[in-house]
Amino acid sequence: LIFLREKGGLTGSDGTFYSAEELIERMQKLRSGEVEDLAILTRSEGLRKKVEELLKRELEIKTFLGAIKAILQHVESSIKRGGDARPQSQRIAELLRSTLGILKQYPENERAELIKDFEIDKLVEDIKTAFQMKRIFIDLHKVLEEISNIKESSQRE
Amino acid sequence: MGRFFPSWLRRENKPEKIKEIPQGPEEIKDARSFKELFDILKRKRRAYWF
Repeated sequence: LIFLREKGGLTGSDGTFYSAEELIERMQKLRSGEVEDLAILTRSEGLRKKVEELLKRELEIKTFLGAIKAILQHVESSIKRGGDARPQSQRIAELLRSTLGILKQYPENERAELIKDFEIDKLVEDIKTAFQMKRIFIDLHKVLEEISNIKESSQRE
Repeated sequence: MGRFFPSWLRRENKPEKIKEIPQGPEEIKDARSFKELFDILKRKRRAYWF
């Protein structure tokens, strides 16, 4: 006995039906790194290409934040030795600006969630502590302010 | 599905509720995030045989 049913999902090029739930589960596995091969997704309607693009963007944010954390560790030991942390603050400002650029590509109502997911708030606090930046590192301060604005505007919605 | 079919079968074939899926871009290529992409897929209704 065969029935006709309507459901959210996609029909693959070979005619196989993939439900939305099934596709989402596969995409989450790719996001978590549990699976690396994009071929688990159909190319139908440009899905695989879109997922590749979104994964790349998420990876970029993680890479930038990872780099900032590494620089912060270096700064901490440098400050302890009485060194100048100014060059590192410039580099961190650049990386934060790149992160901000990527954040702006996300829908506004999702940005606050993303900031939470990537623990950007915590990172911002770490940066403030490391540099005591409010007085000295004006450039970096502007970037941090912009991140706070993004968060606040997202939460107002 | 008429009244000649048993009730459990009629329930099985009722279209899923899609009201709770937020509106957003319609096409996969226009998704700006995974969340938007997931919503697009849930909204894309496809008839299939089972």
